[in-house]
Amino acid sequence: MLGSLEQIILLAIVRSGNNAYGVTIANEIEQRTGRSPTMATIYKTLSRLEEKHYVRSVSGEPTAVRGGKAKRFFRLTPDGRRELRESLEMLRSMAPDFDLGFET
Amino acid sequence: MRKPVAPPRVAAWLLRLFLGAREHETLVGDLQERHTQIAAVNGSRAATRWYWRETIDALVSLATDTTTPGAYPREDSPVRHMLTDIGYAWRTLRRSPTHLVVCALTLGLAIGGMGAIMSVITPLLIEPLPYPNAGRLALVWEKQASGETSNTTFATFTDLKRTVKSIDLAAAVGDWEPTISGSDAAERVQGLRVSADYFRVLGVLPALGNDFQRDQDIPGTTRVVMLSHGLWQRMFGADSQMIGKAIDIGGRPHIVAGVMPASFDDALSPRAEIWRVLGYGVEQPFACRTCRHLRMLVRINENSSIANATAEMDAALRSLATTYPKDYPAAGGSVVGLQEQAVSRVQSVLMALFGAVALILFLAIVTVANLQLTRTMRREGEFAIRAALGAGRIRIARHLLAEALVIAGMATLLSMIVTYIVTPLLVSQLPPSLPRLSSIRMGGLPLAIMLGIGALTTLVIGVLPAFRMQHYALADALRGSQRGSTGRRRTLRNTLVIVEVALALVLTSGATLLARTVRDLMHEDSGFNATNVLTMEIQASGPRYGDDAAIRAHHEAIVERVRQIPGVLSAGVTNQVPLGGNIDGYGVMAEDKPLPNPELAPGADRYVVTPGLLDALGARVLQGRGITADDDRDSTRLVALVSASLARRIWGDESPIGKRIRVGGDQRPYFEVVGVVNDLRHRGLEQAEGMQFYVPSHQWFFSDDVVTLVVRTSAPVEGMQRAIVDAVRAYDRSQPIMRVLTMDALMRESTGQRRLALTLFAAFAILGALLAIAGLYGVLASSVTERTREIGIRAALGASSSNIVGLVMRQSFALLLLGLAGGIVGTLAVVRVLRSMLYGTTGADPMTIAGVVAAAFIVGILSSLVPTMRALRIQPTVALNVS
Repeated sequence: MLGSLEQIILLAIVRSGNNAYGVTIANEIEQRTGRSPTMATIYKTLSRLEEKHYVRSVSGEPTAVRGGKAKRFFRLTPDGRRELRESLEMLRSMAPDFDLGFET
Repeated sequence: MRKPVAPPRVAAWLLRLFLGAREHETLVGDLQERHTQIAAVNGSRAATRWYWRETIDALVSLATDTTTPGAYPREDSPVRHMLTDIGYAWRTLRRSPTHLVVCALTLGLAIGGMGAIMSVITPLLIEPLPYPNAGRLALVWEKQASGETSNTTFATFTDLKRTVKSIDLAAAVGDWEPTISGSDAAERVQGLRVSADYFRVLGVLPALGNDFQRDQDIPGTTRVVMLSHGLWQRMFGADSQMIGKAIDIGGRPHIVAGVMPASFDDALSPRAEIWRVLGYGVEQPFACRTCRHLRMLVRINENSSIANATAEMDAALRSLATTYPKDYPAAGGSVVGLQEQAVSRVQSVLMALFGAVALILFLAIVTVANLQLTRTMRREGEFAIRAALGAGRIRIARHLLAEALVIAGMATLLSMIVTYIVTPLLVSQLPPSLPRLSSIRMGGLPLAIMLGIGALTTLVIGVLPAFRMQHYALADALRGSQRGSTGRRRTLRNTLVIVEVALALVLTSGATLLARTVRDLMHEDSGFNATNVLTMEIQASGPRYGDDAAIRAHHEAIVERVRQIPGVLSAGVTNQVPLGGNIDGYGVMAEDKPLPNPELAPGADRYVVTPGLLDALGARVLQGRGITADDDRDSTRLVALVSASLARRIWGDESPIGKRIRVGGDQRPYFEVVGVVNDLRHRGLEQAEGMQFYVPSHQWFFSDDVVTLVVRTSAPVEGMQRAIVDAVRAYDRSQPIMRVLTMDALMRESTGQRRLALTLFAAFAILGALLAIAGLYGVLASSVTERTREIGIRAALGASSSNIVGLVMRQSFALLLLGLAGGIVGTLAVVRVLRSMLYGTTGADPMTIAGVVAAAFIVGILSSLVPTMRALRIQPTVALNVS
């Protein structure tokens, strides 16, 4: 069972396609949800996801705008993909179409 | 591509310091990239704020993230290890909040006290005065035959300057209190008259304009003044065109030579705001060899020393005494370093305070170390298990050190807050005539000392228990074999507690006695009613107020104006007010009680007043009548009032009404006593008898140019102060208003010294009580832990709860009683020292001391409760199992 921040971060990685690293993940979350978790929080979650083998990371090339630091790109593993799908299914089945009284 | 914007340097540095190489690479890269984005959209300030928030969050999650082993930043760095240890220590300590709070509070208050006293001492006693080579500055004094030092004279100054080789420069300094008229108000300010070299001796140049020139320092030349930066801003709107212009001082023009820098602090007269060239010549009468009213400031030659200068100065003065035997006592002279001179009045007090704080700090550290030790002992089983599970001794020691670091860290933070709050309170209690008061703050040195003490404390309270764990085979702990402290250490700990209890008792009794004194004094019948009374000194001086009539007219016109203000009940002027600090008294001779020796006439405070004064003060006429406007108009019938005590002293039970008194010598006329007023506590609230006489201002034989206006209002006086001051000022803007104070403020001021003592005693008492509680608890708790097995066996053999309570309480009682006995002896000794400050209670008031002892006893028993409960909870089986 994924935590909600884990879900959101996995979804952000999916949305960012081949360009999923710290900044794009953070931007994706901020633009879509209006929330802005700190980088440290995002990385803590990412490392947990990596522990569970739901994501994989590779180092990129250093760039000037990053002060000469390399990016770390994240992608979902097949396990991660399956877990995310199941987790979303569960959400959907728990929240069917009727009015829960809190939907806008 | 966007050009990168540099992130805040300190934050970046912190990240580099605390993050391992790999995590640094990615996280900092991301932060940098996003920082540039945010800077482009929201501006650099928002970006900086964001970066800092991210940094703090990253560091905090590093420090607290030990729950997920191998969590993202998984690389090893020594700092990271430390953070992990600290995070763990923090969580362990949080489970014993009482322990944490008591330790941090005890240490924090003690270190904070040290920080405050160091903040005061640093600029006063440690740092040199803010002048170049300040150690070479000194004051020269003449010695009197009695050995006391005295001021010097202009003639002596001139000779010494010429003959003494070990001084480079010298200046003569006299006091001065001029009235300066600005564009819209006049002010009386503190100043100095100085010879032309004064600022060159100090080595400070004016910030604006020119230093005094020697050709300006000749009798009869133009008067030249130097302004302080503060005065220049306050009265002259920081006008840079002032230089070379004339200002009005006492009705005469003075040329402004320059303005001193804002940082200039005159150690000879810290409140001086204006300096005038002395303009003396040796031929002037007031420059004579016995006209000792000047101070002599010198800068000692680089090749000489204060000792050399003293020897040479002494010889020079002795040789002057042979030349002018009538003018000098032939006792020589002395040279005192400027700094030593400036702080001489407070040095011993500050050093005593420092000693007291150091003692408390020492006791605090020992007590907390003891508490940590106790805690460690109780956890020996836990540590043994951890050791068995593979935690090395180093790791356990590191954990203990980390706990110490958390405690000492919290204490140090707390101590900074304490210092920040206490230092200004301490400064407000120091005499305002001290130099460098404005430089007292929590500066670099006190801060460094506090951090140093914090670090030292970490070591002591961390290494001591760790050391014990090292020495003590952990396997033994698992087996639970009989352990215990050696007798010597137990004696040491017991002694510590006894000393702490005694100290706490002494401090608490002192504080209680002083608190009672202050309360009693404030509730004494002072003879006046201080509620809603405003006082201020007003003045009528200068060419326009040349005669007594003009001065009286000025004072009376002001009283009349103030009376017109709505809400003013009564107003009057007097030459002095109760608690105002003036001692203006006369011997009172009664016509019908002639004395063989006029020196035996009872002394009484002179009150020359206008008709409304008694009402404004709230003094009551007990017999006869008060002073009326008719008395002022009638110069043929001179009248006076006397205070009840004065009347009793002169006439006993006879009625004084109609009797005649005379003050100021045989040539003076008699005044007829027409009324008796209640006593005023003129010199201090503790003064029992108030001896006063009152005379209408028109009937006194001279008029005081400086008088105090007393105004009673119906509404709270604070709200009316402005209107009253404005009305007074509007009458004649060329005249200054001084010391605007409510009567309440005067009362508080008059108990100031006691309040300071009370504040100090109370502060130390709180610390002392905390120490005693913590110490007693620590000893009892460790003794219960040590005797776990014994208590368990007793319980197994059928000892009742009350037996076990008795076991712990017996020890508690013994320590408490010994401590309290020591404390009572100490209190009696301290009361002897404090006697001059106590009032009402005749020193060691038995009821007060008994009350404090009882309270201390109850607190002592309460702090034994936790260990007692712990002893009661020892299950016989558990106790026996560990063996």
